[in-house]
Amino acid sequence: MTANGWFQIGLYLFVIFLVTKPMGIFMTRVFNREKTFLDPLLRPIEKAVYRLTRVDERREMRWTEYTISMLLFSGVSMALLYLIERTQRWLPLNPQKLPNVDPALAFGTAASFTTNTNWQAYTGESTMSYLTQMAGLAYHNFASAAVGIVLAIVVIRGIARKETEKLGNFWVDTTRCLLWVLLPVCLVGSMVLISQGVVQNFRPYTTVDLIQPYVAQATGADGKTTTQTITQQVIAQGPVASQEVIKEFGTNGGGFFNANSAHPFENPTPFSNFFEMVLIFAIPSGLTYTLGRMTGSLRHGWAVWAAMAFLFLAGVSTAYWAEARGNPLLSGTDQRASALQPGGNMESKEVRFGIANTALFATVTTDASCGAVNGMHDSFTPLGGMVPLINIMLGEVVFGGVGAGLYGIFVFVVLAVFIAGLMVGRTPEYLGKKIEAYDVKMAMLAVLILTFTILTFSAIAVVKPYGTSSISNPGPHGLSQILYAYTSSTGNNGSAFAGLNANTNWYNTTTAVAQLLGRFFMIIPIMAIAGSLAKKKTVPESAGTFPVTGGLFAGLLVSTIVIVGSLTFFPALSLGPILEHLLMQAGKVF
Amino acid sequence: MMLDIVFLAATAVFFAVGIFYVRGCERLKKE
Repeated sequence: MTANGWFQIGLYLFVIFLVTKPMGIFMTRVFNREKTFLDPLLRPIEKAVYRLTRVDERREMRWTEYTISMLLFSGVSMALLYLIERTQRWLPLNPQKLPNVDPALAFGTAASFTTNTNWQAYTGESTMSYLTQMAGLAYHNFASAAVGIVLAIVVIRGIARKETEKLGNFWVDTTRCLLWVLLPVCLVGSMVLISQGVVQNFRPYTTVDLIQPYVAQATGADGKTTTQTITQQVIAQGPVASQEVIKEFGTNGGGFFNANSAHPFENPTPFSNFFEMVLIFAIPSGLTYTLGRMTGSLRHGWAVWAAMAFLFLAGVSTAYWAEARGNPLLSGTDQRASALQPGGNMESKEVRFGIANTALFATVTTDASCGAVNGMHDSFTPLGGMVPLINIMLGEVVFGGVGAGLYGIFVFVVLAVFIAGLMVGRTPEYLGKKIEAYDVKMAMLAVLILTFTILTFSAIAVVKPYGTSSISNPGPHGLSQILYAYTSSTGNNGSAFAGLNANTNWYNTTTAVAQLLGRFFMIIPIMAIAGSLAKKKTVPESAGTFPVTGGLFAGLLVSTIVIVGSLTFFPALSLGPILEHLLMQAGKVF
Repeated sequence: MMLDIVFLAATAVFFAVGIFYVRGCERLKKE
């Protein structure tokens, strides 16, 4: 570990702290329908959208209507993406003449992008046409992000409002989120990325002559080895920048290229790397301020932010330490950082970014439900690779996905105040609302669907040939690959451990089901809690009220998150990365 | 074509179940 590495990590958290308040204030104004500097430009467009779609912008919905609107919107969007993928061969903007996507892969990808997961069991540049990338995948990057954000706003309204059943209008909130929050930042952000060298064009791929041809050997199906001199290379390109910025800002994560943010056309410079990481946390961090502002308790918003920041620092410190330490089995090799080398475990890491920025990116992308990667998590040391896995298992509530992080941590807040209420023998309260049996039941449904989905699918996959045939390493590392696949899918993260061949009928269909369950069956009970809270009267604070504004609350929240995660996943982690670490220390690797 | 119908039907069934889940949560509250 180096001082420079720690400085960059500290600088990153400081910048996130700085963007929290302006982002939070702006989102509050957008969703409270207050004036913003973008109104003169966007308000006419907004009105035209409502006129065209016959939406009454003054009509608000109950939680059930809001949720059903969201489900219908997502279901129709998913079916449309499936159809685009299945017909891309006959559609325009396909200069490479790429064939239609196979049914199982098209289904898995449609579920993946609808749920904001962006799990990719394909190589983007050789599977998806430009039209599919833009009208299909990039559209979902915006739509699924907007859905997540507006659901978080509904949760905040549920806490803030009293004695009402009305929580907003799904179509109005989604339209305003797209027009005011996502599109302007993406427009400016894509220009920033283009300035750094991210490509943006519609050209067919370019074939170039290699300056230094090389000889490649390949073994055919008949077992014969053939030798070929490679003299040319195909340079994939396309409308990358416009997809790249929403990939991070919407915490989607699906790369234009298979190498994702490790590809120089997606992430060319250390600055673009830093900028992309800031984009990932900008909305989730800002939403904590929105929570405080809309509920009238800024200190509560900052307490939630502090709990998230603590867990973030714990994760990135562990990952950085594990990767900078290197592989102890390479005892004869100098793995220390110096002016000439980054040191540590550099397998599958970009020399442009080094250990600190790869450990930081891996932590950020899995704290949020982003899934973009600038290095391959499969090549991390066992403990370094366990950090992204744990981050997702905790529910991606450390800042979290856009909206999903806030409504995810809301579940833990409900559980934390419930536990605090049990300890002091009072009915638990949260910002003046009594937390009752129904709210806790719904919170537990949200927690259990994640656990059930991850562990059930992983258990089946590790004992069945159609599950184990896809792993590339035996032993505990193979278990980690499968566990990571279902954890990432259910948590709607989308990053892969990179060693698993997920493009099989089994993985395409089961990861799709995991993504759908992890997204929508978690959302529904959370929305029920929001509806329940909105109907309640507020009770005045008294001496017995557990404060949700200070360090004690932040500590209890962190403890609740860690304890629930540990109790649920420690056995699986013991058989995967922890066992692999212990065996590595004993001299055995996989 | 057959698989297309299966996957599109599966999508419709999933979201229909989601709507029933919403109704179920609502009913639980009333009880």
